[in-house]
Amino acid sequence: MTKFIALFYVTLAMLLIAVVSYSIQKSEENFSPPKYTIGVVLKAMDSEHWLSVRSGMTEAAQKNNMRLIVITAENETAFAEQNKIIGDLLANDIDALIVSPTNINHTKEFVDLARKKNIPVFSIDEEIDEIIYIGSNNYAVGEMAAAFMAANLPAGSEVSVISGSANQNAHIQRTAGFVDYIEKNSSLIIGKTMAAETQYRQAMTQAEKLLRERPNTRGIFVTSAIMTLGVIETTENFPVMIIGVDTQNDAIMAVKNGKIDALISQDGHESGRLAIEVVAAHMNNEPVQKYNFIRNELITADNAEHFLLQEDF
Amino acid sequence: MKIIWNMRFKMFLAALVINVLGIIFAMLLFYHYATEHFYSEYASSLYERIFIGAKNADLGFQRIYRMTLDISFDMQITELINKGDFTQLATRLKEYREKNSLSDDIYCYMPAKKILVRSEEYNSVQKLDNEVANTWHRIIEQQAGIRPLFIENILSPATKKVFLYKAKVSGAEAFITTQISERGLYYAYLDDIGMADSNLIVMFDSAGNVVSQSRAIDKKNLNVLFSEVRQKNTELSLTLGDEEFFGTCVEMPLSRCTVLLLVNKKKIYGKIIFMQILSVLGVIFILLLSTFFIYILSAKLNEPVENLAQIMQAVGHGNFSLRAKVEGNDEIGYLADRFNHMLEHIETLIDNLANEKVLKRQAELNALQYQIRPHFIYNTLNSIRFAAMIQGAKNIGELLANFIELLQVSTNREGEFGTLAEEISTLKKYIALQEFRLMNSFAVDFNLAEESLSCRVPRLILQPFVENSILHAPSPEKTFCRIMISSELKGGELIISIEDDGKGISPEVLKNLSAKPSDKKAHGGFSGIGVANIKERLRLYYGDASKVICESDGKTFTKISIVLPAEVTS
Repeated sequence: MTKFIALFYVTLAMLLIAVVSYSIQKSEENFSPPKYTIGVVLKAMDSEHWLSVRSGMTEAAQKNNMRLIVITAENETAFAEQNKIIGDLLANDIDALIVSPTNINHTKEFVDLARKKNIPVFSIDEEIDEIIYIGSNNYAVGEMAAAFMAANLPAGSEVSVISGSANQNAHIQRTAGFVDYIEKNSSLIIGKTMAAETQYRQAMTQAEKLLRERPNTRGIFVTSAIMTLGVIETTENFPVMIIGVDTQNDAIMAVKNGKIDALISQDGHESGRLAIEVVAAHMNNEPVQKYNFIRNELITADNAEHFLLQEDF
Repeated sequence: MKIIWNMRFKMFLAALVINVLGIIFAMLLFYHYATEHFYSEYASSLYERIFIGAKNADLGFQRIYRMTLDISFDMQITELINKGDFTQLATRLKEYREKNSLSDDIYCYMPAKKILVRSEEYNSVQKLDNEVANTWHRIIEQQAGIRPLFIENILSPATKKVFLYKAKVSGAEAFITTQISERGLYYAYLDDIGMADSNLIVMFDSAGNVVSQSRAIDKKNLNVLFSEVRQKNTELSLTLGDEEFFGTCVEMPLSRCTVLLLVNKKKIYGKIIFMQILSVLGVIFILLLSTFFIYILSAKLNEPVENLAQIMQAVGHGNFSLRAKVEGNDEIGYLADRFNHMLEHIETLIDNLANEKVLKRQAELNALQYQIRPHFIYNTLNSIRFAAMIQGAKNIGELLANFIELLQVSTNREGEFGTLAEEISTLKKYIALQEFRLMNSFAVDFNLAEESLSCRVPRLILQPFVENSILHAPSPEKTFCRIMISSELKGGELIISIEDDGKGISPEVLKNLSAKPSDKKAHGGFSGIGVANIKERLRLYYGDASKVICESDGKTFTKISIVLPAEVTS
């Protein structure tokens, strides 16, 4: 009989423990409204890259209990509109601001405003002085592209650069990395470095112009994927090696088909996610580095399939 | 049977009580957590729903904000304003409006000229009178940035409530305003969230003004609601008027408006009552099921006890051949086993008792038979005695009287002991008989101490020794012997001696007499049996306290001394 009583008590105790642990677990599960509101102003939403950046941010924000206001300017050149949006956001009680400025020459205004309002600012994909940066190491991206060309083109070949907006640090850094590497570490010759709006059509016309002016060009480094897609329209019938930047599906398809020789990856999803994690760390008063680089990899026809799969198709 | 039922019933009842308490306790716990969980889950599902609705509404605001900004940065718009081509401007505005279905209408207001250009087909360019222009200017000045302004649109033909965004046209002295009608926004985003008429949706702006709602609520209640909303409580429960509500709210990050969804508790109560009924039914079902099992279990557990009790009852009625079934290795099994042992023991005892009874009866019968024979002999002898007396043979009559008395004493069953005086009297009768038989071959003298006569002695202990002396003492050389019987008390012992002056006993025979009765051999002359009998009787009566001493020189005398513990009768 004592056995039965003991059994009864043990069962009762177990039941209580289960219930208590369940209720504790439940109180942990209890949802709470997001703690921070993060304002995000991106350059544009017209390319796959930015959509995947936003997707990465949204995912990480949900995990970190934040909510995002993602607003973009009409296109990558509309810095006035972008600055107006940033100003409005800063006036709307946000806790942090992530910016990818369309023009590095017009960032001081909002950086100062944010500082005055004591709102931390982070830059993504585009470096701003004294502001924490999240994105590719763009100089290294240029060097990677140069190393690939140096390894795959005969000595003495002439190579050129078609760069995106000269107002954007990313393009400037990529171009510098490429040019510096070619000049110092290879037997190739730099032909011309051209800058254009980071748009499909402009890139196309620039490429036409380049090939007209310098028919001996054997390699072109294009600093953005959307521009690369424009360039290959022109260079299809020329023996020119094309290297672009960005991880986006249409460009990777072109690599797979041999229209583009190589891409330097820039995973938007990863940089979006990393940006939110850096902001979360900063909000929790954890130390944050000035430069937060994502991984950049070389995409060629051999491994293009792998990068396509990453896009969740 | 009543006890058995009680035992089983008690056990059943005890188990049932524990069971009922346990089940009720478990069910209460379960019910408590289930309802709590239910509320929390319900709140979270409400939150999810309202979150998506609010997010969409916020995106709607963002689109209008972005459009207003786009228009203000549109170079073509600036150009048209500066050129004064208002008809074209109106068309352009209309194009914008058509791009976004949420926008009610778009105005371009030029404060300097007090001209309003509208994205409408009809009357698209208006010159405002001073008062209206000033009022409008004052209204739109309140709005800046991302948060919409909630106002009454005084410029529309019928005044209606709208959300308004404003942007200054870059490069021209003009303001673009985009209006979203409150009802338009409500039906586009909020109406689906509410689902039922009994539910309530309220949207507050950041200042606490109600900007949209599903039905009218009085102001006092709205204040209550807003104070709840301000705490950003995602799970709230409150009473408005006579209705109870359960709800949640979500703040929209861009417009900083808060959407509040209140669900009438009546609806939830229905579900909770259903849950309660389900719990109660569950309890009843489990109780019935467990009662059944407990009954079976208690019956099973009680079976050995009941069997044992039944067997006990049957045995109590006299059926000793039954045996209890020994089941299991527990206390009941042990009890049954012991009970069986006890029954076997009792049975043996009863058998023994019965046997003894039979034997005793047999002995009694034998004794009765023995009693019949002496009586018959006495009667016959008495008849002969009287015949002898009648015929004048007085001698024979006396002899017969002595013989009869002797016979009576020897078969007397009344007592085994008598006084020494009685013993001597019996002995004298015997001697008289022997004198008649043997005629002057012996003479008996008595030397008895007076105090010894009242001593208690076993009957007929002297006769065999006297018989020996009478029969064996005379010899051919000496045909007449004297026999001396004496008694004395000495040191608490009664010493009776029989001495004759006959031929004595050879040392061989003497040795034989002194030996233990079992070792002796029958001897022709001296009757060993009589003497041995006496010795055995004395041993039985007194143990080692008595002695029989035989002395003789084998030629001139024989002396037998009987030593007994002196027991003087009162």
